[in-house]
Parts: sequence; C-alpha cells; structure tokens
Amino acid sequence: MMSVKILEFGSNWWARFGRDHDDPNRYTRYAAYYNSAGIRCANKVRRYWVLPGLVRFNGVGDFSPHFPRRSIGETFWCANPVFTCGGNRVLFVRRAATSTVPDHYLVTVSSDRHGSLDLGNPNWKSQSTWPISISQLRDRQEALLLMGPETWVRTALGIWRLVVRPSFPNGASLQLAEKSPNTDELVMRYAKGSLVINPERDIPLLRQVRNSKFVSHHQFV
Amino acid sequence: MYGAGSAVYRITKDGITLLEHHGQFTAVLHSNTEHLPHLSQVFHSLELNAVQLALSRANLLAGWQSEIEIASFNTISRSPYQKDYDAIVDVWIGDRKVRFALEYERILKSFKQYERIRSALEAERQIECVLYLASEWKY
Repeated sequence: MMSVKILEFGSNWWARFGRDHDDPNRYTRYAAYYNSAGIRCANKVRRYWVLPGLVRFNGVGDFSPHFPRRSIGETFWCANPVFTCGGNRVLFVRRAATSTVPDHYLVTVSSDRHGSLDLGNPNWKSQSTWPISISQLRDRQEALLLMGPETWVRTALGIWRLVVRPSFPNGASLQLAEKSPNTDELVMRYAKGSLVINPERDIPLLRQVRNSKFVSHHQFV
Repeated sequence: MYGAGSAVYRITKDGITLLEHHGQFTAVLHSNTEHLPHLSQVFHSLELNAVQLALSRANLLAGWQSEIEIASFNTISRSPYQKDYDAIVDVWIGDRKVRFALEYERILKSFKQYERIRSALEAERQIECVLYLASEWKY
C-alpha cells in the first residue's frame, strides 16, 4: 500500500454500477467511480488516451461521488499501481489519517496551464514520476500523474517541480523552476519584456486581488 | 505597508482593465472608478482574507462573495441586501451547504452607527444568519 494525496483530478469521470438490477446495493456498495485524463471537446470530455489508465474509488470507500472535489487535499491509502485490462490502474482504498505523510501526490498537468509535453523526449519527466494516464488531441494534452516530492515534469514552459510546503493550500504544488534539475542551464520561459496572461491562472488571481481589495504576499503563497 | 509582515498588493487601473477585457466586471470598482480601495482598509482586508483562507484550508468553504461583489449586486439589483456585508459565505456542514453574511469588526463604532447597522440587519430578509466577528487585540 502507498499513501497518495490528491492535488487534482483528471477531467474525465465515469461510473460503473452493480450488474444485478434488483440489488439494492447496486448504486452504493457495488458501484465504482473512475477518473482519468481527458480532453474537453465542446460540452463533452473525451479520453483520447495515448497512455490508458485510471484511478478507481469504490462505492464503499471514503469518497463522495457527489462531491469529488472535496477529496482534493485528502490523503488516501492506495493499492500499488498495476497494469491490467489494457491500462494502468490505481485503486484508492480508504482515506488516511490527516497526519499521514503522503508517499505520492496525484497531479494533473495540462497543456493549457502548464505548457505542452514533449512525450517523445525520454526526459520529459523525472524517473520517479509515474504517469497513470495521458490524453492528447492535436496540440491539447492532459496527463494524470503520481509524483513524489521534488520530482518534476518538463513542458514547453520549463520544468515543473512538485514542491511540498505546509503553506501551500493542499501542502504541495507544482512550481515552475527557473533551472533544469539536471543541469545549471537556465530555462527561458518567455522573451524578455513580454507579458503573457494565462486566463486560467492569472485572471482568477487578479480577480481575487480586486475582490479582496488588499492581499499580502504570504496570503498568495 | 508597515506591520503587514510582507508585501501587500492592490489592483491597479491596468489590472481592472485587463479583468474587464476577460469579462470580469463589477459595478462599484471598474476602470472608470476614480479611487482605488483606500489604504486605511488594508488590515481589515488582510484579516478578512485570513478568515477566508482558514475556511478554505479546513475544506469547509463552498463560496465566498466579497464586499465588492455584494456592493455591486446591491447597486444593480431590484432586491438588494440590506447592507454591503463584508462577505456572504457558503460553508459545508456535512453534505449541506449553509449561507451566512459575515461582518468583521476591527474598530469600535459609535452607538448611532450600531443603531443603523442593527436596523439594517433587522430588515434583512434574504440572509438568515449574520456572523459578527470581532478582531482579537494582540497589540
């Protein structure tokens, strides 16, 4: 067993229910809920898996399918990852005590927010970053990953390192590193003097500053 | 800003213009507003942020409307709230979402001001619960 803290889910959710239509536990005890990477196409999320895989929650676990986002920031005891039925699988068994130190973090990296992944490059991730599932449609990508502290993934924007810090909202966060973890080579993110606004990250932050009137640096971090 | 413990940020006119470009408008603070939030509000805002962050970190926060959003709503709505509350907060209690208005009191007001607040709260019909928090004096 390993302990995994959920920082983010993939975009793709689905459920399977018990096969016996007369069983009153069909939608509870015998239900299972799955999450994986996915690509949003209009009002639907498609798999477009280039690496098939999923995480599974059982109906009897500590996971609420009605409020999946409430599991974010929670640590679960999980079965070790296996490759079966044509894909990677990780079973989230039960919620761990809040004092449990996670072995791994469930993280989602998307081309929209983190920059595109060069999956053909063998060095696109650190050795101990474990991809569960990856979706790709043309230039859009999403990857559901298990990452340990200080592991990293490389995107077109640079190196994203998983930094564990108690002051972060869920205790850990992907941070864009200025330097490559293997060399001292500087990674250039944008041309000097340019200003690039990310609608998904910068605008909510700016809105928070406006709505709060004043925000301290500590409250941002 | 002395005493805040770190740098303190406030939105600029350019920031508001950028937000408006992305469809984020408020009626009371927009790119033509003459005055940005006054520096005298810094500590009130920071301490209110601390309340919001504490609820969020405890995984209880389901929604937070700021005073600016509430005041904007009150400006344009036909059925406004009785007061520009500091926040309207939705929190999780089990699987139930509960709403309350939050007032954060840093400075003691005059008797007459409290009378006016009391009248407003008594006339409030849209919010069932108002939580009044008072600042803890550590100085």
